[in-house]
Amino acid sequence: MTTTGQVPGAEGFTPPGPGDFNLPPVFGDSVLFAKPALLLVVSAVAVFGFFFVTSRRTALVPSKAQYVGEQGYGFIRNSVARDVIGSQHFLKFVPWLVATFFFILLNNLFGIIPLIQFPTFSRSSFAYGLAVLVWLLYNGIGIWKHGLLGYLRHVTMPAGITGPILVLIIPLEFFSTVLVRPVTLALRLFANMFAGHLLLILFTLGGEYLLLNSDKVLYNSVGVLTLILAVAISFLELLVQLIQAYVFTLLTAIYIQGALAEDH
Amino acid sequence: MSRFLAAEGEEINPLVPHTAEIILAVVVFLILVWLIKKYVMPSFEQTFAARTEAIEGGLAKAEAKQAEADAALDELNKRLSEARHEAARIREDAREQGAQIIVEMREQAQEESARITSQANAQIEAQKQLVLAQLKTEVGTLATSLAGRIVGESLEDEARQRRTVERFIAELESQPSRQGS
Amino acid sequence: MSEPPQRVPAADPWAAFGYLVGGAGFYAGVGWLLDQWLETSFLLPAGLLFGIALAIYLVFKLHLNA
Repeated sequence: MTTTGQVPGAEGFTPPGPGDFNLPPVFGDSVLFAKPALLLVVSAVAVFGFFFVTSRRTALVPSKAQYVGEQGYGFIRNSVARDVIGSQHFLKFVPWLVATFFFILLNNLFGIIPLIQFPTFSRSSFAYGLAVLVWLLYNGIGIWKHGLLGYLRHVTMPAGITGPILVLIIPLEFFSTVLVRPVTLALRLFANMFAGHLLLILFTLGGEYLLLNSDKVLYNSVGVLTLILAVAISFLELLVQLIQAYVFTLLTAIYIQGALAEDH
Repeated sequence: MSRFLAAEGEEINPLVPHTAEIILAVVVFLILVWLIKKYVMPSFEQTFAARTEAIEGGLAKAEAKQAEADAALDELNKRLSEARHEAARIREDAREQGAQIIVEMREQAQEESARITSQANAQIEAQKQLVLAQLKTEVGTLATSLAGRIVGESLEDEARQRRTVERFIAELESQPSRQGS
Repeated sequence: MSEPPQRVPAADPWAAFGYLVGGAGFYAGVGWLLDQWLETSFLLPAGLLFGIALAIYLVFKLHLNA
């Protein structure tokens, strides 16, 4: 997890920084063979493997593993897809939303899973990729549903606002729907993972440095306290990771619903 | 490798995207969506549908059972009340019949008694006629014997005559009890 | 499993943020362009404030009054 710059040495403690997220490739010379990209692929395989196995032996009375898979799938299906999009259209989007939630969740959880310990979406590019897909999805649905002009009107003209002020509102609505949405979607996920991971590195490495590289007992004990805090922060991160996965999925569903809605 | 190590020293902006990573994320995610849609969703949806059906089917079955039971109970109550009416009717009939029978029996008894009475009367009448006829012949014989006796004894006086007649009547009076029975 | 009554989904909880960023960004941009054109310097902050005000109006109008 650490790069060479963070190994405590005689020159003193080097605080962790953005460089800690630029991991070298495991082999070759491409960013695609670096740890984050490999984790991304592994997570997709794991998510699919989990659902594939738990959905195989389908019985009315589910086994334990099947129950877990079913609960996960059913949670996104019912509590997110159906409740937000509505029972008429939601089924088409269930695979997308299930994939979104569990893909992001597992990649986030990588941040605190021992030995892996890298939240994949702390690499902004991955978050951009998902946000671009969501952007294409909801705009595509809107255009498919209302036609291009109809969708533009749907997006830019909120119901309940009339008169000359509408002229001023139109560019604002357009900006917030078409441009701000994907950016905030990507940045929210990325920034949370990035900051959380940075915090964890700081507390772990700082604690380790204080504990091992200091002659003073006071510093050593502060180092122990810092390491304990790092554990506490790990639990906080677990919460953040869950919430971010859920928020990303929920917002995707809300955007789909907004594009499908008859009126704004 | 050198690129990444070189990046260590420079100012790194984590917001700057790497095209390769964006494409990787897009491709991996789309494949995941497709796989879930193709291999996971049908199975789960089928299970959900089957379970829904099982629950709703069970409910429907229970409802049908309940309706059946209700119908049976209704039928039973109907039958019971019919039976009750029937019993009441039968009782009423029996009472009427009993009353009629009593009346008929009474009439029969009266008829019988009247018949017996009239029979007895007729018998008595016949016996009476018989006795009268006997009496008549006997009275005749007696009268003849009395007359003979009166003539034979040569009646001297009135007192003697009267005694003779009285004796004769006393004989008569003692006789019929023997003869009549 | 009967479908639950379809509640009207709450709008994007970050819609207000989107309006603020969109409004401020767009009208600040417009102000900047006008500044370039008219060779003034006050239109950018004016546009920024105007955009924010418009965004706040929109949030109140669309979400808080509904």
